[in-house]
Amino acid sequence: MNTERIVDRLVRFRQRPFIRVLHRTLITLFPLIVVGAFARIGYENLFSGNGFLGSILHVTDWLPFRQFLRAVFSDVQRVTVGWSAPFAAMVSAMITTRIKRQENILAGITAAAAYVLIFVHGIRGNSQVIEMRYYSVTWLIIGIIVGYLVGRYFAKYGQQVNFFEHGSTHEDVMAAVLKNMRPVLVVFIVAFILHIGYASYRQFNLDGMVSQWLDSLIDRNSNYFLNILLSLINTVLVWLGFAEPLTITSQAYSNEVYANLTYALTHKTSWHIPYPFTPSSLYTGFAVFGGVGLSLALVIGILWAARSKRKRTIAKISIVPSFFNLWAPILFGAQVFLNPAFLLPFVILPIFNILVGSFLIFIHAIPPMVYPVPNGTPGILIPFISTGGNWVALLITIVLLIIDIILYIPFIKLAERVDERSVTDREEESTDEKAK
Amino acid sequence: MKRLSKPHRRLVGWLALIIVIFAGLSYFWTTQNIHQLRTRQESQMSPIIMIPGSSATVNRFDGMIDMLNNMDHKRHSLLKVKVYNDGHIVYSGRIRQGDNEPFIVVGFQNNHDGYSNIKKQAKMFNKAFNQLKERYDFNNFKGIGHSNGGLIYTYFLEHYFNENQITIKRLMTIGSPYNFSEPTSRRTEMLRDFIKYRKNLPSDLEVYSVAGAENYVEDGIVPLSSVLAGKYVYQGAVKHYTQTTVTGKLAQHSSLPKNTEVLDLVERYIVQNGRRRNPTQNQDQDNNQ
Repeated sequence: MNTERIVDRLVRFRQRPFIRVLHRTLITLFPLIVVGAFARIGYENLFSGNGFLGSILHVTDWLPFRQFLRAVFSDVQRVTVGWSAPFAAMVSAMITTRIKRQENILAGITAAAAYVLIFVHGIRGNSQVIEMRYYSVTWLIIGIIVGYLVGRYFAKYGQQVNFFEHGSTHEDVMAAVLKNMRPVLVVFIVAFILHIGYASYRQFNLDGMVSQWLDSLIDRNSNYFLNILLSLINTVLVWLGFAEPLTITSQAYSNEVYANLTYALTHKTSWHIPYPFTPSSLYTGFAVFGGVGLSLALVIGILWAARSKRKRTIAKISIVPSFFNLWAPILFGAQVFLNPAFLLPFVILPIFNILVGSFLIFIHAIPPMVYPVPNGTPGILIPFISTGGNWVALLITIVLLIIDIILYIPFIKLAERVDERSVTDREEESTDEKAK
Repeated sequence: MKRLSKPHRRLVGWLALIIVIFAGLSYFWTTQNIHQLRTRQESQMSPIIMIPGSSATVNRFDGMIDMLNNMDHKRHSLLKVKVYNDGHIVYSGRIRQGDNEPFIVVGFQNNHDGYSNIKKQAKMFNKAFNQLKERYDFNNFKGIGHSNGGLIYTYFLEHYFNENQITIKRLMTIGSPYNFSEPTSRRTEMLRDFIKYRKNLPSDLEVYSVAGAENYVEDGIVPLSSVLAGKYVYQGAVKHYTQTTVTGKLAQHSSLPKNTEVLDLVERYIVQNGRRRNPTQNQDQDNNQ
């Protein structure tokens, strides 16, 4: 059967060493990401005067110590999601050595330190501050790649270090650590060379030029196809594990948004605004229910249709962050990154939503979205709020969400079949264990 | 159609409940928010917000405002706002109903000199400004800062002022020492910071810097060159930057707010109904917001 062949192929892809390492790293980091996501709901949504929960509950009026709470919650987010790339480097290096049957804790620590070293760069003029963006979840895939390469290197040239093994004497451990001195040094030298390259890139302000170029590129007036292009680029890159462009596009086209808003406020109607299809309203309104790639639809789809109880538990944990557009927990928990089973709905469904939404605006079934929404507004409420409380818009969003869920479900089932077939790899490993 | 299983029904029920609750709360928020945005958009009020210099109080501009009221017979009302160090804000005076161009003077309990105090005062001014904008719903305003008041304004505009719906149209700094008492060859930390963050200044702002001079070099307290250093901050970063030097009677630093030439400049450039402003008024509003 045709689907059988697809499943076969997907299983083979999933059992490639790098993909195995990647998916295990993701699930290992899941608890950390969940903690970070909830902390983010706290500081960005609940305790912030501009946040969604903060706005609708009017926290500025009654909540004491709000700024303090914001600060401590943002600390939690920073050390979890904010540092997840080095953690990913560490975990993926350790898993790589384990898969190669050369379990090595030193590889993990070396990979994390090497990753940090490559990108560490004090912001000029203030040596106390280190720019953190390269360490956050958006650079996840780079961390995992670094970890994987370091793990491979240690598996080949290092010596197994396992402190948990029974009967290993202190002498054994010392010998093992000393034998790993060389690979540690080699990794650090490579990381140092990369760091020099990166530091000179920063020194000559190339990154400033790059971001300026990007800004000027998206600072022009938009056109309709940019919506689709934007969605396409974002979903594909996030699926690849690289979410950096998301942070750029959230700033784009603010001038069009203000022009729209001014028009709507002075003319008291939003029907004839100058830019009805500006990406910052159309894309954020229809393409990000639950965050990038409509992850809320994915979460509900898993709750609805997944057979595995553990998968449903993961979805249950992720539903709250996902409701507030925080996509990280479910993408880690359901291992969506580089999972071909999810590629199609992840990329196509947001575009489908944009097309449907803009068509409905075009035929005047719903007014265009002009009014401001608070930070972290749940995706499914954005069209409702930004049309000024238009109930048809809410209804349409819910219908779209249901369609998205229905369309996601076959792919969720496909992913489950692939997972079940990949069970063989667990057996393969347990036989390894016995062999030892 | 087959009936849904129990977990499925429960899932649908929960989701429906959550969406209904949040949609209801959001509905109140968005209608209220749009109402507020509209009120602000339609507001005719354009206050003149003034900041006194160091060691001065909220009463610093009383004489100046009396004289201005005598000049244009508009009876601008006067509201005084004092910000205390612990953050509480005391209002005195009131804005008369229907007065579209009141004077608002914002003073601080901590009215000391020095860059660190200016930073603190800018923060306090921001707090007062946020209260004022909520209270009076204006969508544009004009600024006057005497001496350090102009520096507080500059710091405020570069670091705090970030409004989509509110514009500052014109700012006049009177005898503001952008480089404190240092010669031009030695730039203070404050001036260097002002220049560093000048790109944050609103690009559609018109700035007038007025210097007083008792002789060729100073106004009795502040060196002329320090006032003129304002060009390094504003020139090229805002829409217009105009520098005027006033000499003669009452050109001493502290008397500048009562100098008739200065009052004339305020009346002409800052007050809305000044001679030059009227014809372009509506056009300005459309373009700026």
